[in-house]
Amino acid sequence: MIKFLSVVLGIGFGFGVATFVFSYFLNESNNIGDSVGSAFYYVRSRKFHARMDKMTPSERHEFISRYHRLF
Amino acid sequence: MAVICKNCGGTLVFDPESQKMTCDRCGAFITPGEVEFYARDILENKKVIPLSKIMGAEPYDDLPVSYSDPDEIRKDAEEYPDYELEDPPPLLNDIPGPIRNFAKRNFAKWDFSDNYMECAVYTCDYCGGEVIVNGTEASTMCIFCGNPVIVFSRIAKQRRPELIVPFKITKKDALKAIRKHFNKGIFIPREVKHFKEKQVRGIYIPYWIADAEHYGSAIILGSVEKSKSGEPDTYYYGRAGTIMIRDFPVDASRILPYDISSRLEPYGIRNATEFNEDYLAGFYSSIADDSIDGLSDLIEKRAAAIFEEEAKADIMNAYPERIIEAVHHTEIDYGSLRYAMLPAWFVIYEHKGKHNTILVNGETGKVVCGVPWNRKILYSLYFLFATALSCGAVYMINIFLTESDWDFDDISNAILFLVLIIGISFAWGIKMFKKVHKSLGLTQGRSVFNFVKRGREQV
Repeated sequence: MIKFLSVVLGIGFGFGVATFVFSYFLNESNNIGDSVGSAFYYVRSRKFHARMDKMTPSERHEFISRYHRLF
Repeated sequence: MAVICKNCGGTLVFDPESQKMTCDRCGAFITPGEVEFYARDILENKKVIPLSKIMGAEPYDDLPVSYSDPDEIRKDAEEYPDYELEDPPPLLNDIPGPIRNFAKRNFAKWDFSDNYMECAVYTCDYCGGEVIVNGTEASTMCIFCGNPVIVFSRIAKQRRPELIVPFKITKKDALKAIRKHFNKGIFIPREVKHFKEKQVRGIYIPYWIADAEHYGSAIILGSVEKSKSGEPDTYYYGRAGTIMIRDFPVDASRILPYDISSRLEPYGIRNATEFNEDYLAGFYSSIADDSIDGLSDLIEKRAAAIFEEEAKADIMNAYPERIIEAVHHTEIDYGSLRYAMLPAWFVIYEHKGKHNTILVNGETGKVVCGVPWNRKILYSLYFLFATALSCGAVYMINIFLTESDWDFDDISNAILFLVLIIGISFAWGIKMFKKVHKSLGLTQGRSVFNFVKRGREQV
């Protein structure tokens, strides 16, 4: 049982990490210019009139639903 | 219309390097906008005659009853490849042989209800040759003399662009930038690295430049690192506000996929100059065939993404991981909408029987494309690496499970952690592979290829 689990996890780890590494390098090598203009180029002014940090679930719900009603 | 040098009668083309019009014969340099046109009124009123009209196919009522259905026409064309019009209209004999033959050959294959394929005849002022232009082309090259042809009436009579970003990157620079990227690619096949370009075209793409105000509210999941234990803790952060978006470009050509034209960004719209036809000389261009109404969804989507990017950047005391929930509303300022021509080089090469189209931003030199990969090298290295890593991992996990003195709970947690790593690795890996595959699909797609080639392979 332990051997079987070791083989399954080991193969999963090996192929999982290899998939990640090779996809990353393939993306770097063969996917050229895959990006669009960011906020830096288009945003002239920004104004956040409501900021809330570390919200509770009820605060979170209230925060978003206020704008649902507005828009 | 060919732009003619007033000194020697040679052809003037726009030179990206000097940012001036240059004469290929006497070498004169002239500032764009200072070229004097003779008979400007005549050029503005010079007609572009639809080929379908010349062929007598418009309106359909003029055709025999049996040929009123485009599907039927196509079917008959396949059955009778040598089909010729029985009773050609008188104008047919007035157009040059090669174009007449082309039209006859292709007449029955065309679906005239499709605006993209609508072609027209325009006379080159330089040699008098009849040039076929598609429904949206504003400038092209004469197929007989190779001189630049600007369909002046389309620009003058239809909506004239307000702005133009002239080409700053030369054809040589564009090819150099592509080769530089290709040489760095570890999985790019050697024959692709040394590709031979089949066609290189500088094209002005029509764009709408929009301003918008975006209102939004977003809940962001952020993580904070605890000072004592060092383990991160997650909290929710709320941001609501307004952003003003300026000079946002959306391509106004229906045939060019937005997925690929958006990757050409950014363009320096603030450096754009007032539109002048002279900048088109020597390049291809199309007029807009997509209204801003059809593009408002794209602007709203991008505005929402930009707002979310700004909201995440506004969180200072935590690491913003992702947006959990958001509400968006965009108001496009239609009054400030501008119509602009933005430059791009399109380079076509063939690999294994497929056309690949590379795009290069004509202002910044940004290269956009997906490149075919060397399957043998990629997959063999992948299996080699994965097998070696698997063997090592099996050995280590086996030792850990048999010889460690951890209790059952700790071992279970370690296994769960490993499963999580495996899951994340596969998910990220597959996501990135899909990205590369999508880029390659766009590069090899018919849409981009058709945008470059449409209406120019007639004779």
